[in-house]
Amino acid sequence: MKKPTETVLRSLNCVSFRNLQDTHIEWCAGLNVISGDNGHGKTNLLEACFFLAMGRSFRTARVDALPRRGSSSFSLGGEVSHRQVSHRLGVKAGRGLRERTLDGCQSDLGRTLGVLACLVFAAPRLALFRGGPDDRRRFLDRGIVGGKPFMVETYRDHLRALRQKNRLLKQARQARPVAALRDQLAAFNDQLAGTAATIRREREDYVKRLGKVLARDEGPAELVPGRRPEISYQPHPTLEEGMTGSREQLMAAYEERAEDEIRRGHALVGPQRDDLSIHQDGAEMSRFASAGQQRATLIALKMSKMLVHKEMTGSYPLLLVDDVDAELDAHRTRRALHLLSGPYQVLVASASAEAWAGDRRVVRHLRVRDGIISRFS
Amino acid sequence: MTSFPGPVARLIDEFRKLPGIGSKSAQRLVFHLIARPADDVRSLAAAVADLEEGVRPCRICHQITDIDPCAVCSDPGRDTTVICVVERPSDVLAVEDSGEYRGLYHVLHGVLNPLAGIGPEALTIAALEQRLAPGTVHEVILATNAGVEGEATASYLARRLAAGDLRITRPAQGMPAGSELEYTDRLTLARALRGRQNMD
Ligand SMILES: [Zn+2]
Repeated sequence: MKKPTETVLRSLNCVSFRNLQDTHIEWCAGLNVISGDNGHGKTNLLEACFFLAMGRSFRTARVDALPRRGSSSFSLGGEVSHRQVSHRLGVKAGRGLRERTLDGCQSDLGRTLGVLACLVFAAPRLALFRGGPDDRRRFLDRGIVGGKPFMVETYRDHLRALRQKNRLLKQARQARPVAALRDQLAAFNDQLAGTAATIRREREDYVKRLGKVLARDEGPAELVPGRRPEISYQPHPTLEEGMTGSREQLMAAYEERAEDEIRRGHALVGPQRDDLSIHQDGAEMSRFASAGQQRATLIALKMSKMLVHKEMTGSYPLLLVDDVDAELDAHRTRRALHLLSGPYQVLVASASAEAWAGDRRVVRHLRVRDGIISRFS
Repeated sequence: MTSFPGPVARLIDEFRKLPGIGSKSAQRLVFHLIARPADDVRSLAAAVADLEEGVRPCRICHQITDIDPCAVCSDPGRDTTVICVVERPSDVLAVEDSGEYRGLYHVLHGVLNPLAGIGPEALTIAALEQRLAPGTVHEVILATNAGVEGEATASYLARRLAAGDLRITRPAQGMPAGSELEYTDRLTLARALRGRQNMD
């Protein structure tokens, strides 16, 4: 029996975005394929859907790279049905401009994420392994915010309090006496300990959920050759055995390092220093795994994220897959798509139209040529 | 772009300093004024000038007032054992509107904000301490807004003011995170004031 897809992006309106001709596209629940030669705009179309949902691009941090040449801004709109209720999402963006609407009213990321979340499988950037702890934290935090949009505010408050505290510490290092600043530091530590305890709890929970999915038989971890990859959360500060990372315990840990922090002039304790360890057979994959294993693990982790999102919110995110053919070898591509066939919506951008011809799972096949989108027949 | 005549440009610049006013709005306001009858413009100018001359902070609570001490501080019907500490003058009006409060006020004129260079000495905290010194005040309500800086300021004050059996409370229930007192509706604020909690 087929379960209905809970969240479906029904349509996309696209004005002045990249090389795409202004257009209105209807999408279907299930597998949608966009084929076209490289450089003609199929990835741009995925990017437009992603931007509509997430308010950012998965390819660039520069918003002013997104409007069509000669335009200073672009706008995107779309209809989403979320649990049988229809919503209209809209976004207008350009240099210094970002307006988001939900059902015609001004909205924020936290609210739109609750309507449509996206997960993208694009050319694998192995930052998760080769980058720093900040890349790994981002991996976790984006998953957490996808499942619990209100966490956007906690992260924002934490960052804000941290910047305030760092400014105080800088002042403390430059100016003596420090006594007058100590009380202010304690006040901002109070704020930090509260948000840090929440972030720590959410990250711990999220990693636990991901780990469970990875440990499943017939699950995403099957894609990875060799032993099953495992993940573990490395919170900062590390606390003694039995401590849960409550606000009070964190506050005590902050107080303990207060003098060091004043000497160094910046914050030394807190979730801004957390890390995530990805290991296989006890060995850190960032150091000991081949590029192929890392790539396969990345895909497995993303698929796990998708299953965890479903677990947390009750519905799957919209899945965007950019050029599957290039990302995995043929065998694993089929395996991944098999694992991924379920009651959710997928948009696949592929250089090969033929690869999908006759595939009965494909409910819609569009073709992109020079930014112009047409039905494939 | 050609520039505006001196006086026009100057007024546009002044309007732009106001909260929520960008270049375009400032220009619109100025051109609107230019199109108004001269009397209207003169009465606006006079009102602005009166602000400078006729208004000052109350010597006790630092609320903006045209009589000193202000109407609240000189009202014999108020409960002088409770002080509600707020960020801005407009917050006093918000709390008054809730109809739930009969005590006194203290306006900080800001919150701690190291990034903006605002420390405790830039606020009216020392004056607040002086008001508490005689020991006749039994409760201080810290009603700073719910953002990071507002919370930190409340937490700072709770530590600094802690003394003897002074009760220090914070309106807790129903104040959505990040909310500003000024924009919180009456009912929510009234409920929050009734449900205030001890800070420790
Ligand atoms: Zn007064």
